[in-house]
Parts: sequence; structure tokens; C-alpha cells
Amino acid sequence: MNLNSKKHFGNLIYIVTILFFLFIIFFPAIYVLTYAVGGKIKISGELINALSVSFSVAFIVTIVNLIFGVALAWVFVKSKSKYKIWLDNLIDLPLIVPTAALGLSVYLFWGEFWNLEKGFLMIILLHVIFTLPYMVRSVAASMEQINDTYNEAATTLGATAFTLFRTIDFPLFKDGVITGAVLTFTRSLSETGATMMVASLATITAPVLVVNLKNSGDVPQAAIASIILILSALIILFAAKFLTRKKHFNFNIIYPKFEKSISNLASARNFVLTLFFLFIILIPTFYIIFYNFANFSPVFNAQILQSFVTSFGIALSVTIVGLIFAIPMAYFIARSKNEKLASLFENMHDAVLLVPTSALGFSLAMFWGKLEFNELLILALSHLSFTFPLLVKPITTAIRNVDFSFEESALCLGASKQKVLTSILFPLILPAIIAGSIMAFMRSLSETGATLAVSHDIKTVSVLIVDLVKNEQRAEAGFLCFVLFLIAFIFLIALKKTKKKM
Amino acid sequence: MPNIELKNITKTFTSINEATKGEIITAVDKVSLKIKKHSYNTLLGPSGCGKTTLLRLISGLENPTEGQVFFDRKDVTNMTTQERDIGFVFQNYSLFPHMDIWHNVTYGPVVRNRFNDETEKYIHSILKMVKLDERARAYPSELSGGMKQRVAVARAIATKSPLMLLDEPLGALDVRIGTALRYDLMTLVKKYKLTAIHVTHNQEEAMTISDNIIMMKRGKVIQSGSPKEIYDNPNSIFSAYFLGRCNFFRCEMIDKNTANFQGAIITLPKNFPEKKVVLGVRGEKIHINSKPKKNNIQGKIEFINFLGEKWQYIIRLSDGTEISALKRVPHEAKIGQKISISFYPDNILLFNEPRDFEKEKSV
Repeated sequence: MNLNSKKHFGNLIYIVTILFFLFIIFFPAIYVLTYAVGGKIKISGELINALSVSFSVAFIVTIVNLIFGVALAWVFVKSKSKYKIWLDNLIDLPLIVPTAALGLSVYLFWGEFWNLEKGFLMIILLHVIFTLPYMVRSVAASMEQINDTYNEAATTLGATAFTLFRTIDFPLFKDGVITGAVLTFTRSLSETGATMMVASLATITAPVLVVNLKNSGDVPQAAIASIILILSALIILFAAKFLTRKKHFNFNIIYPKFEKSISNLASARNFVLTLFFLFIILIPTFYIIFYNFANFSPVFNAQILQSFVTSFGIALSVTIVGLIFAIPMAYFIARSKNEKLASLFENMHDAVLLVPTSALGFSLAMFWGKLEFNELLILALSHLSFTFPLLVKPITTAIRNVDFSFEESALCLGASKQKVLTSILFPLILPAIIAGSIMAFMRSLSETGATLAVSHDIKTVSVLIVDLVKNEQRAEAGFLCFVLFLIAFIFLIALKKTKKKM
Repeated sequence: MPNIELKNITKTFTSINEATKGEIITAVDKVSLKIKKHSYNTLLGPSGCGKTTLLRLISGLENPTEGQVFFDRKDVTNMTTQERDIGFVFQNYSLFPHMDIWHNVTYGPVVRNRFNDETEKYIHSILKMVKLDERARAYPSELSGGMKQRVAVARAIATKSPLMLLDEPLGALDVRIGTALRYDLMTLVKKYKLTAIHVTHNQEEAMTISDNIIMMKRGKVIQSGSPKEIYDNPNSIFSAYFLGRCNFFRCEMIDKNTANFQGAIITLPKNFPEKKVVLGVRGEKIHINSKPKKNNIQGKIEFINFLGEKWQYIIRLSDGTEISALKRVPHEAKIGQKISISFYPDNILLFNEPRDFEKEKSV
């Protein structure tokens, strides 16, 4: 190959990647929006009801997480305690535990142990658990970027702990709080599998309704519900981009007495946070394991085995196919000279990530259903859609963090472009590739909403758990959850190890 | 407030560095010192000598492992930074990026609930003083390094604290601007009648700016005094070498006031009781004889450097010792030429031969 054709080859990879993203990931995900064009829109009372439940749950959960998530992140970042490492390990757990398993665990804890009724409150208790890590992680990440000397400078100028938090830290990590709030809100809006287990007949959320409507064949209402969910996710995304623009805050007023008294509440705060984390987050998440010890019934029938094969097969293939396209896509976003185009693609990935999965699944089913694809293929394509951004994001960040001068010096030393990628860039971003792959794999393994919206006959493990719970086969469901838990643990440890190298 | 006194201050850290993880590191080692009111003091020493830690101990940003800190005979060891009422200028200025200059500078009075019409006027006058009154609405990212530095100083002065602590305040600036700002700093400290403690590793900066220099090495105070006192009477090989550079000759004593350096007989300014002695001679006190004299120290010109206002001659002695001689007018000797050197007894500093000469000299 001469130089010119090599350049063309490079461009070809970009073009194929972009086409893949647009036509396999992005357009199918929002295809349902076309339904609104020319279609008659009629919203049923049932849908309004479900939407109002969804939005109020998301709103309350966001408020709860703003209070506890920000406080936890603050304690987490500032703490020099040796217990910090434990918190660090535990905080991600709800993120990686399959939501169906989490839903069952929460139901067993609050429903069976505490005799709480299914419905609004239990949905909130569930949603707080799996959204909290998003809030803590985003806030902690942006807190960690704040230069320590800002705090020291404010201290030497006389600011007490709370004043310092309000006037220095909060304005500086505000963007992390907004990101955390957006993720919390949209995750809560989108969750299906776990919510099904704690929702009552009267109180149902919109994504659960989408699945129900789809199963009962009410396509128009399911489509409208999906459209509303997708549009609200997009609106939230743009609102957040707008809010993160404000960078300047000047403070003239301080309430020295009040703020000093709040600054002195640190030990009370730590006590409340510990209680919250233990009883609202940790124990409900783990309860299923205790439950299993009491009611242990290891069953491996053909159906269960098949669901495992399906789940792992899909998870593995979407991760591999996703990686093939995610790496060039990430390189394109991170290194493109056209910043506007790169940020457009980044926003499109965020949009796919935020769109509620059952709406996304419904949209994908409509899109691919038109082409009369095989059900398993449609299922795999839908999983590809919501896992792809999970791969692209960390790899993009990793490539951005690699100083371009490494690649330039390798080029000057005589390495070919290809050699530069394989010998310099690739080894440096490998931890991010592994981390992204684990996240994508686990997400595919645990996803319920989109899977339910797409599949008829094929059952993944998470869908099977939902079915078993519906049929009151709790012991079997509990056992499956236990197995998923173990897998989640193993992956969590693997994830921690690779993150250390990043 | 400030007559500052440190009594037996020690600060140890547990290393978090991968290579030395878990080891105890003594950053400040039993330091006692007194600082006079309204004086400009510098903590001078090589990097890692504990000078910044000492400053942070005075500010309360670090707590001592042992020892006490007194402000005007009052024990402040257990007081928080806020309660100590200090002004602190950080190395990277640490201007709050989300606040404009005005709000950065008023932050201290505002959070202490001392902001009123009078302080407003006062802060305007400070900003005028540092020539930034017109940029009050600008954000830190819009300022040059020198301007940021002046804002950082103004912010510390605005607290009305009589004590100003400065951690390498000129270190991040380019040499020309940093040199000019030295005088601004001095002027401000004198005008507002502050007591300043200024950390630096730059000996030239310390000499020009200070009333009092505190020399530190490996966590200990080696010597303190006015720049002239330390320059003329360094108490150690390290002091002589670090403040103003010095050449050393390691000799055997012949009798009470003569020493032998590689066959050259050197008369000392006074009697010296030990068997071995280290002579220190500043570069500008060394004479070069282009026709080598037999009884003098023999060497060869290795390099000649033109430094602008003076010439530097690097001389290699027969035992390998390197000597630097400074001349205001060029000497006739050429590179490679064999020469001899000499100096007057009055210009010799006398030191005991240390156990490990290189370690003693090293920074």
C-alpha cells in the first residue's frame, strides 16, 4: 500500500464506524419518534397516571440523592479514614448488580421482612439504591479535580467548613452534581426490571407500562409512552448542557453564625450518613443473599441453563462487536480536529445512554421488526445499542488523557501510523477498554426493560427472574439472583483492578 | 500580634510514596526560632528541606507532631487556621477561579463578617496599591502570572492580619517579573507594617528581600541572621555554599595557624585547634596567577564563562577539585593554561572537617 491509499483506508474506517453508529445504534434508538409524525396522538388516563408516577419518583429520588449523594461524596473525598477503601468498594455494587436481582432483594427486605406494601414508597426505596452510585461517582470525580489549595486558601482567609463548601467547593463541582442529577433522574425514569417487582397494580411506572402495553399489543399507546420518555430524556440532557455553562459565582453574603453552627455538625452528619448507607442502600441490596441461605434451593433445569447461555452469548457478542466499532469511534471523538462534530457525536452517545431502555427497546423492535429479522438478532442489536455508549465513553476519556505528544514522538522515531496505534496508544488505553467492556457486559447481562420490549419467546436470565417472581417461584428466582450476584462480585473486583491501572 | 515563637517543633509524616511506603519521614526536626515584629523573614533552603512544612505549621494548615507555636506569647498550637488570623500567599496563588478579582480579594473580610464601607474603601486602596483597581471585575483566568501574584498578595493583606505567610510567592513567575515583584512585596510589607515569613529556595531572592534569613536543611535550622551576617560569617559549610556559593579547600594543619593544601602552605587568619581544616573562599576573593608560583595552589583553566557583569573562571586543581573564580575585568589567562591561585588570610572562612564532606555540602 502506498501512503495515499493508507490514508484512504483510515478514512474508510471512520466512515464505516460513523455509518454503523448512525444506522445501527442511533437512528433505531429514536426511530419511534417517527411514529409521532402523522400519527394521531391520544394519551390514555392510564398512561398519564404512569407518567406522573415515573416523574414524581424520579424527582423525589433525585432530591434524596442530591442530599445524601453529595454528602457521601464529600465525606468520601475528604476522608482520610482507613474505612474509605470499603466504602469505595461497596458504593459501586448497586451499579453492577443486575437490577432484577436488586429488585427482588429490595422487595424481600422491605416487603417480606418489614411488611411494607408494594407501590410508590417501595419504588422510591429501590430507585434510591441503584441511582446513588451515579450521583456519588459523578460528584466525587469532579470534587477530586478541585485543587486542594483552594480549600487551604479559603481556610487561611477564615472560612469555616460549611462556608467553604458553599462558596468554594460547590460552585467548582457543580457540574458533577448536575451530571449526577441527570443520570439519577434518567436512570430512575428508565428502570424497568427491578421496578416491576416492587410496583403494585395501581402504581406502575411508564417504562413498565410500555412493556405491558407492548405485550398486550397496544402499539400506539406504547409508542406514545416511548416517545414521551425519549423526548424527556433528551430535554433533560440539553437542559443539563445549558446549566453547566455558568462558571462564575460571586459571593457577597455569608451567614457566619449559622454556617459555623452547621460546620460543627460534622459528627452528626457522619452518623446519619452511615445509617442511610447501611439501612437504605447496603442491607436491602444484600438481603437476597441472607434470604438464600435460609431458603437455599439450587435448581438447574433446561430453561435456566438456556437463559444463561442466551444471556452470556448476547453479552459477549455485543461487547466484542461493540469494541470493534467503539475504539475507532472513541479515537474519532477524542482526536478529531473538528470539535463541533466530535461534540455532536458525544452528545448523541449521551442521548442513547440516557434514553429509557424499555422505550429504546420498543423503538428498536419497531425498527428492526420492519425488516423481519430473527428475534435473537433483534435482541442482540438492541443490546448493542444501549451498551455501545458505555464502551465509547471510557475509551474516549482515556484517549483524551493520553498526551498526543507520545504519538507524535513515536511518529518522529519512525513508527508507522498503525504501529503507533498498536504499540503506544493501545497499551495506554487498555485498562479503559477492559473497564468499558466489563460495564457493557454486565449491563447486557442485567438489562430487563429493553429485553422485555423486544423479545417474545427468548428469555435472558433477568427476564427469567422477572417471570419466576411473577409465578411466585421465589426460591428459584432467589437462587438465580444469587448466581448473578456472584458474577457481579467477580466482575466488580476485576473492574477495581483495572481501574487501579488507569 | 506577631512576635512569633516556635518551641521544639517536630513534624513527621508517614510516606505514601510507592517506593518508601509506610516509612516515617521527619519533615521538620525540633525547630525552635523567634521572629521579630515588622520584620521580613525568609525561610531559605533546598527543596525538601522542610521550609514549606514549617510555614504550614505556623499557619495551622498542618499540626505539629511535637512542640508549640506561640503568637505574642500566646500558645496557638491547638488553634485552627481560621482562629489564628493570618494572611497566606500560595505558590500557585490559588485564586478562586469562579470568582472575579474583587470577590477574591473581599473573600476574607466577607467570610469573617467584617465587610463594611470602611473595608470596601480599604480594599480599593489595596487594589490601587497593586495597580489592579481597574481589573477588579476580571476573572483570574484573564490575568497574567504577575497580576495573579499581586491579587494573591492583595487578598492576604485584605484580611488585615498583621502576619503574612508567603510560600514561594515568586517561584512560578519568569525571572524578570519575579525580580521586579520582589521590591513590590517588600514595599507592601513595610507600608502595611506586616510581619512576613517568605519561603524560597532562591538565595538571591532571599538576600535582596530579607531583614532576616533562616537557613534550613533536612528539617533543621542551620543558621539565621541578616543576609550580611550569614554571608560574611557562615556557621557551616552548607551556609557558605548555599548562600552566595563558596570554594572549599580541605587541608591538613601544619601548626596552629598554617595549613597544607597539596603542598601549598596557607596561612590562616587565626589559630585553629584541629588536625584537619576546611577553608572556604568566595569566588571573588580568589586571585589567578598566569605564571604559576611554586608555593601556591596549582591548577588549570578549564572554562571561561562571560556572565555579563563579570567573568567566571572554572579552574581544575590537580586533585580534581573544581574552583570558581569571579573577575570584574577579564583575566589574561586562556583556556587550558596552567595557573596558580592564591587568596588573603582575611578572606578565608574556617570550618571543621565534617564526617562526610559531600553530604555536608550537598543540597
